[in-house]
Amino acid sequence: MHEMAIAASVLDLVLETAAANQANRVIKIQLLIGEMAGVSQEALRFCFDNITEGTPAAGAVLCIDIAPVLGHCCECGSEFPIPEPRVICPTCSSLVVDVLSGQELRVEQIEVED
Amino acid sequence: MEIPVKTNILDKNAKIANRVNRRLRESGIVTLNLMGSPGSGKTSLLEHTVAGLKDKLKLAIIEGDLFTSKDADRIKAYGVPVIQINTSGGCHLDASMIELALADLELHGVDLLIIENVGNLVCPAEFELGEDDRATVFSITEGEDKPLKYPLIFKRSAAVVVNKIDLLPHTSFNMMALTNDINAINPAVQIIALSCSTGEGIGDWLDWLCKQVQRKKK
Repeated sequence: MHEMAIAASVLDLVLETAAANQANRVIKIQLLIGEMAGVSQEALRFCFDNITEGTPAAGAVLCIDIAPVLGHCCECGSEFPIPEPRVICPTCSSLVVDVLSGQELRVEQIEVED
Repeated sequence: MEIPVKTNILDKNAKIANRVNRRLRESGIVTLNLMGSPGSGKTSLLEHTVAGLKDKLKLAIIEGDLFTSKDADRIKAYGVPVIQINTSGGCHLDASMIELALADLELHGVDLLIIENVGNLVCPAEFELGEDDRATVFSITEGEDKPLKYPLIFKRSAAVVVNKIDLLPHTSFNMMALTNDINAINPAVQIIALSCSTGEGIGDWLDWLCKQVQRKKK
């Protein structure tokens, strides 16, 4: 399951950032995950709890903000939420839509103790 | 103390993928990441590809599976350089696996490198490998509802190969519904319907590949 690879990448990034700031313990991690990023929150939390054991991020609170899927129609300029995988402008039915958000997979910030 | 990070989670993989892509481009090699469900026909399509392009392009193949070298063995019979990656449980290939594999692959004079990803409609869509393009092989026996259920892989593909069209008379598969859904997810995608069993449509796939190689080499 790819959430394990994603959890491992989150942990690497978090531990690197903590070390670069001479912090000994990570207490909170803020993630931004897009609705269309194809990541299961539950699976990610499960994997993360498992792989942080014995590391400076053990017990860290994992906070996940979800970015909604938003589109911009290149034909009529409308901006709108996209509730399903089909990307169709609700104003003019164009298929030529830029997806502005909803595919993010980011570590936004961490909270550490010295 | 709060520390801003604002970094993509898959940044490390993306950096390795860029490095792989640069190295391949510097050697004049165009790279395709071939994805699709287990049993969709990826390896069968590759067999047609290496046979059909042998007088036009020099190919190399990287095969990805959890276990066995069955797919690499099939390709070896065609005399093209091929290497098998076994993930031993991992559900997708990633850029670091490709970087390692390149060290053992004879790439001198190669025009096109095709990486056959692990059979999976979910995870391969997330992990760049250093490819120039992605194509997804989809078989009609999987059902026309799959693009809406697994949109990311179809969204990120330059081409979708619809395989096993020889079986259409024996199923209730709705080709129009499939193409409408794929186009609504990805209007720019090239849809190529074919049969690896009968050979119908293989020429269209080979033409698309050759055009992609020509375009990318420029």
